[in-house]
Amino acid sequence: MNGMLRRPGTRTALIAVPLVLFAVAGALAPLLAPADPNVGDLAASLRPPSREYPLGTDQLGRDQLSRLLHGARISITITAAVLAISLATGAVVGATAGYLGGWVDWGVARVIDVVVSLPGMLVALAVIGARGPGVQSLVLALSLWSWAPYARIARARVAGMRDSPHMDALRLLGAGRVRVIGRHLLPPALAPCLVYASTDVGMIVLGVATLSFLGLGVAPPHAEWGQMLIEGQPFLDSAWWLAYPPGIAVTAVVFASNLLGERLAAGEERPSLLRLALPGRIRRTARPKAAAGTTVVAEPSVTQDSVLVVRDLSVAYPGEGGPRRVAAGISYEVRRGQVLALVGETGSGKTTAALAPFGLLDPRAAVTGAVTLGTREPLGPDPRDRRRVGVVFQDSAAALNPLRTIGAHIDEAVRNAGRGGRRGATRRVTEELLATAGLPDPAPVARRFPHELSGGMRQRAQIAMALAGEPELLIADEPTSALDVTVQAQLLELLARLRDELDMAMVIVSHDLAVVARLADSVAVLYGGRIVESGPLEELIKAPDHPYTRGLLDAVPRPGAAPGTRFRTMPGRAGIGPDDTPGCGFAPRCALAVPACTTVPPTLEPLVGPALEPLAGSAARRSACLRHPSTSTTADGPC
Amino acid sequence: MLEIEGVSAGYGRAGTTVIEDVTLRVAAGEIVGLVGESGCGKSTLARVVTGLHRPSAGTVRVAGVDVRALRGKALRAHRRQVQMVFQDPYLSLSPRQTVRQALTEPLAIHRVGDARSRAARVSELLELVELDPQVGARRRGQLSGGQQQRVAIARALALEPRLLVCDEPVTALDVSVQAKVLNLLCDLRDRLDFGCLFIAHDLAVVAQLADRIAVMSRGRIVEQGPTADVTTDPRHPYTRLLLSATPTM
Repeated sequence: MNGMLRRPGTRTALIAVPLVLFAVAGALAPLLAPADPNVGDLAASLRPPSREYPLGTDQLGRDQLSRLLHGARISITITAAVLAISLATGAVVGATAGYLGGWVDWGVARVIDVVVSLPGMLVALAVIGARGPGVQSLVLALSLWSWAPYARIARARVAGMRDSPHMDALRLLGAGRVRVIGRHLLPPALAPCLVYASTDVGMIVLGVATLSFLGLGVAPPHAEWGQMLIEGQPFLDSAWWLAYPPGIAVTAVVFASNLLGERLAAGEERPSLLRLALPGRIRRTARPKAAAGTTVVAEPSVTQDSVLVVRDLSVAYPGEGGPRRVAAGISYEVRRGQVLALVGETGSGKTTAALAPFGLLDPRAAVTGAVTLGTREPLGPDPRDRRRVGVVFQDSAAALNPLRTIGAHIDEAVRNAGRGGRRGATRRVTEELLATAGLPDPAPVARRFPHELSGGMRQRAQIAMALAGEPELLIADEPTSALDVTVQAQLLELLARLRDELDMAMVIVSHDLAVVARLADSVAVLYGGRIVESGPLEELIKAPDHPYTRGLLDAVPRPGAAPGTRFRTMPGRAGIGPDDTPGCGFAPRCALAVPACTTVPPTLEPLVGPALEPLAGSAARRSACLRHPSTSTTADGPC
Repeated sequence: MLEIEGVSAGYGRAGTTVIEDVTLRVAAGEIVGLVGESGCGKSTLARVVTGLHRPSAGTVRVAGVDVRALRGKALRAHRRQVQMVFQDPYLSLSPRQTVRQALTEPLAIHRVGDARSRAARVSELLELVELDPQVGARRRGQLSGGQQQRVAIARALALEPRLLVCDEPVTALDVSVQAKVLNLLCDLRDRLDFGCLFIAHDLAVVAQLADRIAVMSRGRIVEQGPTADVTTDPRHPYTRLLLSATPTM
């Protein structure tokens, strides 16, 4: 039971118990109630709870349990009516206003503001005062002020979707407003409305009880919870069983609905918090250690110039049937003043291979392998180690806090690196860093916010931040993918300059061999979570060995090709994991595959052969392919 | 197929001009590449051509008809002639619809055929963009980027448009997937003979695909001509800059 309680699903279900009881009691009251709630036996008035009357009787001899159950029925009927009216009105009004925009939206937004700011009880009192008490007045009064939050939620949701490409596509397809709103905007807008409704149930139940308590809601003799409370009040000292049960019922329903609403909202809008509570989390291995029985034949040799050496890195995530590896047997080395490019398609494990050595993955990732940065392990207990690596992410807008200036970001990094001092001194270092990152006018840039800069400038600001700790190694994850070609070229130039001037080592992750060709000294091509080919850039581009590397090169547009020239493409698609097949992961897509390819795992072995001899340093070339097309003497084959 | 003449457009009441005096033609069966950096007005031109945005001056004629002269039903019928493929295939599809539902939608909007003929047409469309029939039952989140873009292309082609506007359709894709989608577009153009305005920031991609290239900078077309002319003998300094910045092997 204890274990079950820890599961969020179970907890949500427990919280919902009072609401479920409330619904069941409301729906089945006529069947469950032992007696007629409105007919009493005067001879049996004010009896305490007993076997005959489980909750006692009131002053008119009516069975309290029956009244409580029927009270739930009245309460739930009114609540359902109010919810249906306000949810429908709110969602439709909000969605329409959000979609139409302009003055309609402006007007509706002002009306919503006014209604939300009105004290609800006062509105209800006014309506009931004008119309007289009764169920209809009650529903109207409560609906009049409870529709507005739904309209506000739906409006915000729809306004966010209005200009999405999907809506543009629908407009171009000729879809009318009714279709767009009804079919494509209302359903997603309803989801957050329903989450809010789970909280609203409590507020409405309380509203009904309060108004009835004040004598403005459900009239006697009907058993409404508020009505029961006011009837039981004079007997609070002598007959406790009159006031307590309806009081507890109202409280339980209101509490449960609030808690449930909170939980649902957390699931809807704060998935990160929920994730922490998820079961089956695997701890990251604190200190990666080398695994035995590796398939790596040639391990990178540690030389004096080695800045980063990664050996037999494997990363696994918890999956349905146990941990699932996304990267396996990855070994690479980066030397001072050199740029290593990790290249591959989405899902090839290239980003994982670059970030895993520094614990920059999802906390659920299980990382094994040996990592050496300089001469030490990269993330030892010393926080200064963190500074030895600078990271630049692809999405500069997401990597920077929108509420802080560029200068504030870098100031913080400078202070963390222990390079700052007083505010002025820190800012001077910041401005130097911005200038190093190629922003010629650093002082005004430092005062600006991320959204005020172009994508290229933001990326430079990220680089300045990464340089604050004077790192030995810079990791750039698709640093130019979101940028224009002209800006991309400038940024690649900047990275090349930093490598040369600061003698820095870099790992650059990209899906485009053409992009890294401008910068990288050596390349590792990844497929299905394994390195399939590696070596010096020029040799690898000139004479790719692995059929997948060849496929990647074929996908790059060639200048001078006649218009309409088709690209040579690889059949099938990526998405295989390192352990999904006993043989080569690329075999199903490979034109050169022979039967052995699907059963024998290829090892990443050094290339030797006649075709490679004229190239310098070919000993550093490695490829994981049984066929080794570049070394075979019988031409290139079909690929 | 598409004639753009002296078109200017901007946003807001103050009329910040984004594109100015653009003149461009796309013939049937022709792919015209429009290149330029982000913010140069490429996407605005796409929105003007498709009728999502009103030009402040000039005319846009599709198949000889000025879109601005049309209202109501005639406009809706005309809309079928011009369709668009967007940069982000993920955002251009509904999270709630299956692939088959998404492809049925245009047919339902224009009340084309009955349920059976629509289902047949959807199967045909899936085949056209080389998608497995099983993919039809999946939703957006269960598709790869390339598959999403294929679905978006199939949806755009469902009503047999005569002009397809592609706004950076392969920018969000891996290079290997990009090559396949570009091949597909070429094949489809050959088979269906639609005109295509292909917008991209990558000159290398455009050069291998387009019959003609127009280079846009700061809202104006600074150079246009047959692909080989533009790439081998660029006249405008901006074109030269683009060419030198384009990553090649």
